[in-house]
Amino acid sequence: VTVSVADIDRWDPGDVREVFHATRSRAEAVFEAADGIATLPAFRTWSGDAARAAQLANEQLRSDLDAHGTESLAVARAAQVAADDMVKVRSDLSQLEADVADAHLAIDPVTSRVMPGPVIRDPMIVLLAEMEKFQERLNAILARAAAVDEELAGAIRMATGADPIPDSPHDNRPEIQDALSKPLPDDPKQFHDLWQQLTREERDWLYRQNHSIGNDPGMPLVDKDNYNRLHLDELTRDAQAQVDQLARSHPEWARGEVPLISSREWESWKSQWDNANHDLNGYRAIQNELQSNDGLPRILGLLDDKGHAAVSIGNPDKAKRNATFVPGTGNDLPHLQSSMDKSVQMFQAALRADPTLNPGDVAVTTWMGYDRPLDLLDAASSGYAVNGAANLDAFEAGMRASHEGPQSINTVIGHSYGSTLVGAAASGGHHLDVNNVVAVGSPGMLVDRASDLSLDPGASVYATRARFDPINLATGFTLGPSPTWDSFGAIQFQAAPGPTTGPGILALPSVDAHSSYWSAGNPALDNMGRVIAGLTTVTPPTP
Amino acid sequence: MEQLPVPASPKIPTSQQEAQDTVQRYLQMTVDALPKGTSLDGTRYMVGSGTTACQDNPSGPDAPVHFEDWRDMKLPPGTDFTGIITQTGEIWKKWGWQVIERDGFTKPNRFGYAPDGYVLQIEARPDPNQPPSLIGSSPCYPGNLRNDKIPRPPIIQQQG
Repeated sequence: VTVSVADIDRWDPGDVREVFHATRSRAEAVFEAADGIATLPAFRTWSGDAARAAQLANEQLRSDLDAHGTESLAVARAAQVAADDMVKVRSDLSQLEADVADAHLAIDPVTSRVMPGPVIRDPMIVLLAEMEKFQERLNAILARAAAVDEELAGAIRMATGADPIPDSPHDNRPEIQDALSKPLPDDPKQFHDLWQQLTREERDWLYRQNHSIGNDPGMPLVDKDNYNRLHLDELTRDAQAQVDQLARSHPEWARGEVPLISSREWESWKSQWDNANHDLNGYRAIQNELQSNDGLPRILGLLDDKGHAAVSIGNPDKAKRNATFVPGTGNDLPHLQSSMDKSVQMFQAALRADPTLNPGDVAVTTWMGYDRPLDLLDAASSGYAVNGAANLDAFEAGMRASHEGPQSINTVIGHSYGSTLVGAAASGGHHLDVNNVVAVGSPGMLVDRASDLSLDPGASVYATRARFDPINLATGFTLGPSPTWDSFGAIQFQAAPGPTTGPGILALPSVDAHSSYWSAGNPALDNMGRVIAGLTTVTPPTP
Repeated sequence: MEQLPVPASPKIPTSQQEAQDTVQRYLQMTVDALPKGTSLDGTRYMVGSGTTACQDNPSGPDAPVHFEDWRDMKLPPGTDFTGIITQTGEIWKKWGWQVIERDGFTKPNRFGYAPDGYVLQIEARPDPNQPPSLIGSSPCYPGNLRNDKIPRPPIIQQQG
């Protein structure tokens, strides 16, 4: 299915939401009727064989009504998902159109191509590079639009009876049947309480309705892992099929041969080829991490088809010390291993700091649940952090809700732009349900002071930066003051100065210094281990 | 600013096996030189493979990695923990290594820098009633040599 920019412009999510509201109302009316039958006064006083027969008939009727209501709800859910996704696609397209206009370019809505604008200000080679960059973004939006179109078509086919409506569970507990007939609770605690009462069949049914259910905050981590692994297998198969299909369409291009004369077909194919391989490599990187055989569980606590995932070492629901690592600029799923390496280092550092801890007492999660800026230029914008803030807020609240036993000491460590995301997740109306925040090589946390962060009562904010880390220079202080400035009010700890660049006498900051924090020989790692282990003493920076 | 020793004759490992063997040889030599009954227990640190990237954003499969081996020291009853840290530093000095106590880590500590670029570090715990830890690290080597499947001995006992 091909969808053009002009098609997207004509989309009206409001119309689709009307389908949702109509089918939802119908489902609620049917469920109300079913509940009403159960509470008819006659059934409370009537007895004997006829009463038992009537009771059986009543049960069957209620079951049929529940099934009918659940069918209506399935259509409603499909319409709701399609409407939400339409809004997202339109929002992304609007942002792209604004960016394209700022660059003095334009989008042809019929051909869906990025074109030169009426005024050409840059040399042609610069212009072409810009156009290619925007075209890649547009192609990704169009691909998502095609998927939304298919989702909507599916909802319509279900509503008209052309497609079978998925089977639905029937639960004799009215409160559970009622809960299954509504969207699941957003509140992690309420979600957890409901989830614990569901049968295995009901949980599996919910997964069949929504393959992203493993991301719902409040679900126990082992269940998240179960459903997200199923989803990962499915996404991996889809990505492999996409790569195979593209390779079949142009075997010579797939072998790396580049046509002598570039064409739109080649450009379009190459963009799709790169994206499909990128997705596949990301899913494979996750699979590799999950196959670790060091005796500690790996838990897939988050997964979607937009480059987001979270992998825990250890089980956060059982750990006494629970850390979440948020990587920053340039970290992408195909390179998940390098972020997981850092989590392993912090896991070891926590054990080293407190010899009374056993490996089962600690969990460290690598959380890549937001769109990360892929270069330092993009990292000057707060948009990535603001957009991802709610995801981290919800993830941490979910871990609190599903945790077993006494409350764990929870720490979030943000590196580079990851610390900006952490700041966004604890400000602007968000709350981060953690005991410690650590900002490593931070370009700013979007707040002026540590005390502006909304954290658990008594929480501590720590910050460290290598002396030769150039992060503040790179972002130009657009993301707030450095957390390592005294006025910010964080507890600072020592980091190795990191390597310099250029002639030694100049001692210039180097990119390598921005990433030297996770070696055993760096006091920053030693101090992160202490914080994760729940110790309150860190070694302050030396002048 | 603290200046760290520069290895006199650095030797970049040519294989994962070489990096691990060399780190473990230095750990073995250390434990053999310490009081009888000493061992190095890595059972709490079996997470991961011990290999980690040297850069934040590895530029490709060749991007450098290095190997680390973390251990709890098991010492005979009554051992003076501060004394054993000093003694360990002296052992490394006798091998011709440069040995310093570093800022930013729990003190006492000793970092031993071998001429070939390998590093051993012994460090007191934040709780001084707990015995120290010992870590061995290799220099960085090309990432395409990485092999996460080579096992590490859980416990290094004294030999001979």
